[in-house]
Amino acid sequence: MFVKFYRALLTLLHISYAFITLLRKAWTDAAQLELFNLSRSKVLTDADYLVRCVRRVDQTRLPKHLVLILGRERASLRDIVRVIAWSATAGIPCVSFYDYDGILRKNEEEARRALAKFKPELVDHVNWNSTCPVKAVKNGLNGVKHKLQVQLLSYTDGKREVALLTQSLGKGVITGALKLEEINSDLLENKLELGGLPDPDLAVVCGKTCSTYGLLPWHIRTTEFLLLESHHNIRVNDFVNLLEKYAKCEQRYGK
Amino acid sequence: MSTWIRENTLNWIQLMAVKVLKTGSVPKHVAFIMDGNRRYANKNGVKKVEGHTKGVSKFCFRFDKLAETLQWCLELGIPEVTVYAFSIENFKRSEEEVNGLMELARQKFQNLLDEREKLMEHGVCIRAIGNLSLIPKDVQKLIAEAMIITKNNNRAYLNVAFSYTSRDEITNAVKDVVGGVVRGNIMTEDINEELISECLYTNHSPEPDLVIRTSGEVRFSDFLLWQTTCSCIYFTEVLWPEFTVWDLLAAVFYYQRCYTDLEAVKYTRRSAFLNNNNSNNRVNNFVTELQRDRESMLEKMSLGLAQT
Repeated sequence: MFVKFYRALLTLLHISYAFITLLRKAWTDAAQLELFNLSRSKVLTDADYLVRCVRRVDQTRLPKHLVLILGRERASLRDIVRVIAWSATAGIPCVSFYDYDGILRKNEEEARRALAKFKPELVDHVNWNSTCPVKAVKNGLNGVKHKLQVQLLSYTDGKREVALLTQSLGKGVITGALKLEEINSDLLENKLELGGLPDPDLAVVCGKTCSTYGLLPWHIRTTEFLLLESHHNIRVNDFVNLLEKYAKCEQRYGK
Repeated sequence: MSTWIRENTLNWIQLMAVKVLKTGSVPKHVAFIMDGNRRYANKNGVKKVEGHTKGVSKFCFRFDKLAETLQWCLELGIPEVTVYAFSIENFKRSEEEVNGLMELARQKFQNLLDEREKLMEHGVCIRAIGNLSLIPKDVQKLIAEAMIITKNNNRAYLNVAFSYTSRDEITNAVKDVVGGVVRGNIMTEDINEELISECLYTNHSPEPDLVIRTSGEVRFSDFLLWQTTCSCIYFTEVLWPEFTVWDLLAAVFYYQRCYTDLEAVKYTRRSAFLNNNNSNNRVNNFVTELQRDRESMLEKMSLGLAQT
């Protein structure tokens, strides 16, 4: 009897919470739109606005590698291109898009086409790393370092790469190229390096559920995780807010 | 305030909130990063606790709040809790501070052993996860004793990450697997992510459903990176010493809101695993043998015979 009552109460709580969240979102959306229009003149483009805001942020506190974790959202190529363009404008050298089930990775061609369609002027400034970045080191990134590095990541770039590395270390020890005692975290760090790219320092998780979704387990020990309601129709001030929040985070490294 | 197992301290309204929340899905395993102790000490002008230096004092806060939190988890029906007590990175602090921290660990694990009747009565199983070879022999001995005494208990599990980092854990697993290849117990083609998972320090535990980090920090700091693929992450602003049952309830409420998303991710992972599963007798024997080795290592530690 009581259990049913409690159960009903919990359901009610969840429904009212969802409702309040919805209302708050509608309210902030409206308020932001208003504020946004007031705070910048009509001629100011997204890029100009971004440049103005980024100037206020400490340059050393900009992420060097931004990962957008799509979570359970369906990838929106148009918005992905927006994030690429804003990253280029803000001076973020490396941006990745992570989709745990690998659908985005499979559609890389489409993503490239979307970039060419929406931001043709950027095509020459972007370097797509098609294969898994852990392997990219073998192909070498030399000569393209000044370009914005863009990666489409999936679950298999994480644990499976560690498993594959373990296989090759096993072979190495059997053939005598390596001693068992030589396996330590420095060796793994070296072998798992993201092809010359820095480890992600900011991960933006889309949707209401905060999780890593299996993003690169070896590489995310100091990554800051921030939530974004959705990457669909992401606005430039959402992007600026994330950068500002990130700039405030402080790393202590166990001290 | 040094006891690990406490009686219920909740008032009627908190108890009722617990009962309401329990009618929904409750995580089976919650992991905590207990952060914000230093800020709490600064905020409240606390200089020292029981004669400890400031750095050690914050670890005292950690343990005091932990005992309370464990009690709340049991009330909620959460059978397994993992806590980040001491990172390998913490060894980088000054020698005085590290010694102080080890002394504190000595006390806390001694307390735990002194309370063994209570532990047995409540069916609490204690496990340390981490690189125990890095810590002093006498602390090793206490930890090993606590683990051996409680190893058959199965009503509640407390995993203490001590001398732990996730990278160290993964590295050791990789090393153990390669060792198996070298001895000819397994073949290189047997190696996959499942096998590495089986060789982690946490191989006895299911992956955490919920990870809670206090004090507004939004990173993992090298904690359970491999195991949190499908975990719900709850970052909260509250400082660990000020963490209340309401904060825990809020975290579980958030977990319930994320539940369907996480189940969907788990489902995708499970079906991918079933397609690639190549577990065989060789692999199973290897894992069993590895467990046996680790247990006998623990036996040695409890007798004070292990190397540091």
